[in-house]
Amino acid sequence: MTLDADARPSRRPGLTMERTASGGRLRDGVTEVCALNPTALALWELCDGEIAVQEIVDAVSEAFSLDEDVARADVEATLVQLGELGVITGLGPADAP
Amino acid sequence: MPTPQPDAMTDSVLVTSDRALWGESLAALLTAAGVRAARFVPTARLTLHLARPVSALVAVAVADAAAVQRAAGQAGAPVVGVGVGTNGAPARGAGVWFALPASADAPLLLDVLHRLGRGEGRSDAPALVGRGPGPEARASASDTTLTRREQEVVALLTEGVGSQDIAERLGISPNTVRSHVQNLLGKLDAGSRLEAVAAAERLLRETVNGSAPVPPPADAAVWVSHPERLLCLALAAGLGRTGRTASACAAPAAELLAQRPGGPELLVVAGPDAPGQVAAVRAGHSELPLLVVGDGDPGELLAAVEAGADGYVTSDAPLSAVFDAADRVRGGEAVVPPEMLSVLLRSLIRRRREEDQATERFSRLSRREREVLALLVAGRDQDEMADALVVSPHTARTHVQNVLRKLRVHSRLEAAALARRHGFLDRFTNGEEASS
Repeated sequence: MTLDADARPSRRPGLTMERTASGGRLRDGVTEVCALNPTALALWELCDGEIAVQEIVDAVSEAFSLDEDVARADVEATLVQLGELGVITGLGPADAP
Repeated sequence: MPTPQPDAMTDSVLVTSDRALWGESLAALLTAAGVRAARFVPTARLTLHLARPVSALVAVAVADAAAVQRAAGQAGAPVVGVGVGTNGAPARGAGVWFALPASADAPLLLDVLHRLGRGEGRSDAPALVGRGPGPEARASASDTTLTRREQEVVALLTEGVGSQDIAERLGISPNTVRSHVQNLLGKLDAGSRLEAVAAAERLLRETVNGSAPVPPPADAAVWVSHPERLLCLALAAGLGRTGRTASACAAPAAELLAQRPGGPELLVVAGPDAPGQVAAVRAGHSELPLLVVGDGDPGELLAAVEAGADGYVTSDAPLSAVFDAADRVRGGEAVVPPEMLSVLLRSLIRRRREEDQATERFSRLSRREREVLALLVAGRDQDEMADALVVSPHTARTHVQNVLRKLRVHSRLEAAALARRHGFLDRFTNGEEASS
């Protein structure tokens, strides 16, 4: 699955984040929506509707000294999962059912 | 005077800090030096632990020195502040306070503790105050010295920061900033801020190239580099508790690595210019695992990653977290504190956007304007520029105005800072960005 590199995903409005030792939890009111590891949590925080998928891939590649293809695969897989969890939108065709 | 008891001071030395890493490390250093019962206590829990008498309290990396002073005073414990200032009037209820610079060597700290353990110094504090190398930093191979504050001002000038912003960032008045700048101009024999920045860079290069200290032993698996000697020794002692041989570097690691081709298995870099040290090491050692210990500042983390660090830990983490990060870095992992990952990625994205924008502006400069920019960075004034370009001063001024307009900056200093930050001159020299 390949995401549109120019897609600019957004966090679902109304969610709150609570940081934990193993990453964090997202809540909708008092209901826990999901628990995320640190990397997934960081990517969720980046989804502000202004940052493009390609920019996230480039940043992850630089931060972790990864080849761009490896970084892209990791970032796309994580974003797709976040889309499936319903905590981000705006991935383009990939987040359509 | 009674015969000193060697162990009199070892009964109960507490080390306190806001930063677990420095507290635990300094306690490890004292233990390694023969202090039998040196323990670390977080500053937040200090009062509880002062219920029992202690022979001395060592304070390192403490933000609220006055609070420590008060707590120790109420418990009747003398305090040795390592790199912790106690300027001004003593706090109410304060006890005895001895100040040691973090640049002191370990024997000086031990000597103070021994003397406190023998009951000396309670009424002759000045005699016990360690002098050490002091806060003055040598800035050149000649006798020119810049104070720490002047170095901070120069660093901000290099970034193109104006006087008002420098005042805010350093927490001093604009008048004080102006005074520092005047001192800098005098010391560096510079006619303008731009010249001062260029001169400071030259002097820094002279300093880096000016000495040849001895590297750590060949069997040291971990090297620790920190400009403050006592903190460097402490961190090496703390890391040495992993069972590996850890040695403190007596100089910037890049110089020492040049003398020891095999190098260590891991280099741990800490201190205010850790990213600069990392960049210097990376220039010649692309494969050496590098871990930075920082204070958790997002800008520092970004600079460390950009310079080529493999891992970053904050000094408020316990030593065990540093052991873990060290192992992961040696295993080829990149380590970033989870809570700082989002900030780092956002910073990298912002930096890349700025880079793209700056590159686009730079591409608008003609070849002549790039020469003008190079002269600006070198600190040349208008007349010198006219001479170098063999044009009239009026024409030189026009070129400068065009450069400022195309780069969308408001001053020559800002243009020079932009050029430095984005490596424009290197690109020009290397023939990149074909001129228009």
